[in-house]
Order: sequence, then C-alpha cells, then structure tokens
Amino acid sequence: MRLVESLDDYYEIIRKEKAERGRLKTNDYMFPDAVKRYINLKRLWIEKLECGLVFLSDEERFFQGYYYIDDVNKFEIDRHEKPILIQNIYKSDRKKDHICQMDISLEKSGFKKEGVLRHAILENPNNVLEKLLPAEKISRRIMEKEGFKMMKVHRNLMPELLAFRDAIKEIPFYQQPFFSADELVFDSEKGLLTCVIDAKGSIQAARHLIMQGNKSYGWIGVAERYKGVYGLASMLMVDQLKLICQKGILMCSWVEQNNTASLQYHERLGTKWTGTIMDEWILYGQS
Amino acid sequence: MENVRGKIIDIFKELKPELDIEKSTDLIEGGLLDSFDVIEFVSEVGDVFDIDFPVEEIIPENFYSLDTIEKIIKKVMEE
Repeated sequence: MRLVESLDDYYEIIRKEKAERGRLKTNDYMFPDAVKRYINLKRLWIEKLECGLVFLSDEERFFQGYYYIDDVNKFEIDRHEKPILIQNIYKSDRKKDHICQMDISLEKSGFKKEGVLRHAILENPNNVLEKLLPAEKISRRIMEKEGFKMMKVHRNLMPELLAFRDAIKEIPFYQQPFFSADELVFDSEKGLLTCVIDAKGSIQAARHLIMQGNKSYGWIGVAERYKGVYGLASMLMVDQLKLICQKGILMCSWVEQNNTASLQYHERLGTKWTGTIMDEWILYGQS
Repeated sequence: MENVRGKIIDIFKELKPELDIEKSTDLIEGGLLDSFDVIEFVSEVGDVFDIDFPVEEIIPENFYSLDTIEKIIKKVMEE
C-alpha cells in the first residue's frame, strides 16, 4: 500500500492496470477535483489486489475503497487497522450482474452489508421553507430566551464540533467522512456549517451542508437532552433551506430504505426519489 | 461512423428519462448529472460502443452537453 502522489500518478496507475487486464469493473465515481483533494491531503492510498487494485481514501475513522478489478469473483482484500467502506451504486431497476456477483464476493471476503440507501432530491425547497417558517420563529424566540445562539463554527470550536458530530447516534461512523480544520472553517465562512451553542458556549446542535458540485448533502444533529425541546433541528433546517433557496443549490440525501420513519419524513417534505440505490458494505478492522 | 449521437440519446433515455439531453447544457455544474450518473453512463457507453473510456476523460468539460459527449466518444473510438 502506498500513497498516490499526484493526479497523473492516479491516472497512470489505472492506465497500467487496464493495459494489463483489459476492461475493469469499478465503483469509482470521483471527479478529478475529489481525487486531487485527497492527494493534497495525503489521504489517498493504492493497494494491489489479486484481481486488480483498490484506492483507499483515509476518512480518519475508516477507509473508503474504490476498486478497479477484472474478475469480481476473485475480489478479496485484507482487513486493515481501520474498517473499509465499499459503496456500490446502481439504479433500482437495473442492478447489473457484476454488482450482484460483487455482493457475493464482498460477503465471502468478510464484508457486512450495513445499509441500503435510496437517493432523494428535494424539488421544492421554497415550499418546505414556507411551511417551517412560522414554527421556526417561535423556536427561535424560546431559544434566545434560554441564552442559546446560532452561529458560525469558529476554528477554536472545531474539535468540539467534530466530537459532537461523531457522537450523533443516527449517523454511523462510515457516513462521516474526513474534513480538515481548514475545510471546515471555509465551509463555516460560507454558511454551510452552523452550530447552536448554549449559554455556556457549548455546542448543542449543528448542521453541515456538504457540497458536491451543485448538489448538497448534509446532516443536522441535536444533543440528546435537547431533542424535541426547542425545535433546534427545525431551526437548523430552516437556516439550511434559506441558504439553499438563496444560492439555488440542490438538496439531496441518502435515506436508509428500512427506516420507515425517515422515508415518510422525506416524503412529507416533498422529496423525490431518483431511483438510485447505494449499498454500503463494511469490512471491520483488525482491532 | 455509426450513429453515435443517436445511441448516446438512447442511453440517456434509459438511464435518465427525465433529462432532455438534446436541449440541456452545463450538465454537471448545473446539477443535471452527478458523478454516479456519469459513471453509469460511461459503463453503458463501454458496452454499447465496445470502448474503454479513459478515466482522465471523465471530467465535467467532456460532459457539458450532448455535443461534447458525442465528441469525446468519437475521439475515444478513433484511438
């Protein structure tokens, strides 16, 4: 396993593999900017396999694997010190044979299928914003009366923000990718990352809108003791929707298909299912 | 050369029927296609045209519009 040194190195690795093995099956959907980012962070590794190779992005608490292989039946990868996430993405009515075969190989190799998620786009954020605004105004008054404040996440609060995010039970660790402190500060300056602090200055709720081109994926979290108390989640959702409407961003999400409550919530919001599905497979680490 | 443009349109009709590929531009930056869509499209293109789409050509500029997509596929077919 070695670090990928540059975008040219990345392309050359793939070119060589294709020259040796012919057409390869892959789950790598990264555009060049995403690859460059990992390389600049020194967080993109390449590991050779019997049937090809896998790029591993180091997301701090796990690796994410992007494979290029010729024979899916021979896919096998050793356990590492951190869990490895592999995502396979497909249209719900067109799961290709090689992905079905990959499911078998992943299981044989020790991976567990931890999630099957449906992709959604919020088509009319303005409508949702209008519906939530009245309640949000009330929540905001109560919140401010209690000494809470919504604000950008300053650099000195980043460690607390990350600890807060990592403690959110509803978001598994493998759905929490790595961001550097500089990236988080940048996002905060752009209004993509916001928190709610209590009167003592501790984070009790937060949201992060993660941009992928013109699409955004995000999370909103509230400390256990304040869930359903002041409407903090709705307030952060309104804050997020205002930004989305103002900037013309598309708001997307991945929803666990067995989570009925979440599916119903998204449908009430006016979410449209795109028909794209993502399987999440995890190979847990050595420890 | 075989009807490349027609086949590209057919692929998109199958993968993304709600997208009017003939009239749309700025497909990626405009949020009409994301990276999953592109990879799925590239996979179909590989099967339909029997080509191996180079990974370094999977860039937003090549997927700006039907015209640019047609151009890049023809370029790869000639190589």
